[in-house]
Amino acid sequence: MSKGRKRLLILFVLVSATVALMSYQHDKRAFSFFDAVISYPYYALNEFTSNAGVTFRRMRSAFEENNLLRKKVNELLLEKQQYGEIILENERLKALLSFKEQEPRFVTAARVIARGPDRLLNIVILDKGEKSGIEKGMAVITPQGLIGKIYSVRDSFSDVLLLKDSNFSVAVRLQNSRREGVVSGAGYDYCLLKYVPPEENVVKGDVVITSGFDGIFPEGLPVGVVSKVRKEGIEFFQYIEVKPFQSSDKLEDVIVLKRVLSKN
Amino acid sequence: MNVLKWILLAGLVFLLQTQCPFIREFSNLTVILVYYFGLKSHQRNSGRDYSGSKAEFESVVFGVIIGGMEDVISGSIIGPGILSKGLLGLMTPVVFTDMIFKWTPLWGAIIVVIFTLFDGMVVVGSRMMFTGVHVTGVIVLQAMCVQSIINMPFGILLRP
Repeated sequence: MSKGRKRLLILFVLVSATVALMSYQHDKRAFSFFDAVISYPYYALNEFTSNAGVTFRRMRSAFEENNLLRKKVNELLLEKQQYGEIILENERLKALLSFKEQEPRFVTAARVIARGPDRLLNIVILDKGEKSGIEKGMAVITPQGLIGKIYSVRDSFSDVLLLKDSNFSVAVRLQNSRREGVVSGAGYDYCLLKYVPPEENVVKGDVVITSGFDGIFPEGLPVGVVSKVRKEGIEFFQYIEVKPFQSSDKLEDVIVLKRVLSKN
Repeated sequence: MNVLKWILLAGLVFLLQTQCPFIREFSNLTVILVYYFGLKSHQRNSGRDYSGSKAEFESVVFGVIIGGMEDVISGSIIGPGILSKGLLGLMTPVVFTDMIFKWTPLWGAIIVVIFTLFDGMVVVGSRMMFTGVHVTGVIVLQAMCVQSIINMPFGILLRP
């Protein structure tokens, strides 16, 4: 069979078969079985892609919602933290207020705004100065205990020499034995209680309070607690370490008190 | 392996054609698929003594299968797709053996445009004739023109 005839045959078969098929269906739709069987994968695929689309949209929506909720949670956490800060501040201020009511030498309450720039001196800076009635040498305390004394004053700021500074000294007594001494800063987190003779029985845990004999600090302010006592290898006095009640690393609000021997 | 390749390709084309809204609306990938099969079949059989009819037969069978699937999926009568794709399967090797002799990108593009228009006309014509549906000629023509333009790059890219 020649090339042209083969082609014609294919063409004829194709056209006549399809036309016959379509004519048959035109009169009577008879291929529902084939439709159902052959088109099943198509409908299954359609369902799959449709479900995939819905899942994708849901995932995207969940992702967006997740981001939104994370943002909201962060905001709420921040808010909670702020509330926590406010509560703590409120507690501190309440303590300061009650202290003010009890303490007749109260001058002002101030906030610690910075650490001193001089590395040789342990100083903190208060947000109040001469305008608020602060003078050099005034005692600085918190409700927990002694902090230090005013080292220098400017109009709106003042420097506080901290208890732990080696230039600081305060007349004290042991609360139980009533033995007097002097607490000096050591440059570390503890202070040294000086001038206590070896025969005096000092034990770890004894509370140290101010005696008021230095003319600066009022009597009875808590200073710290004895943390270490050594009698061996000493000359005239015991070696006693005192841990301050108020850590100088956690200062926020403080109270300034008049000197005992005040000019006014 | 070759059969598997064409089955996978056909599956991919039907997936895109049925699931991708843009392709469903503006393109006719099944025409491209049958055309490409015809090209490859022609190339595969051209080295033999005279086997043009083998290539034509293979292409027609492939076109009939693709057209049949298309008809089933369309939900209308079975036949228009078979006829149009079968004819395209027959014409593709014929065009490159008896008319053009040598494939060039320009000829490829022109043939794809003509084939797309032809396919659309056969399908629409058959449906109008055998199902009684009425279509607005201008709208159908516009759609076919867009499809042929979108299909045109395939004529340049797909070489024997």
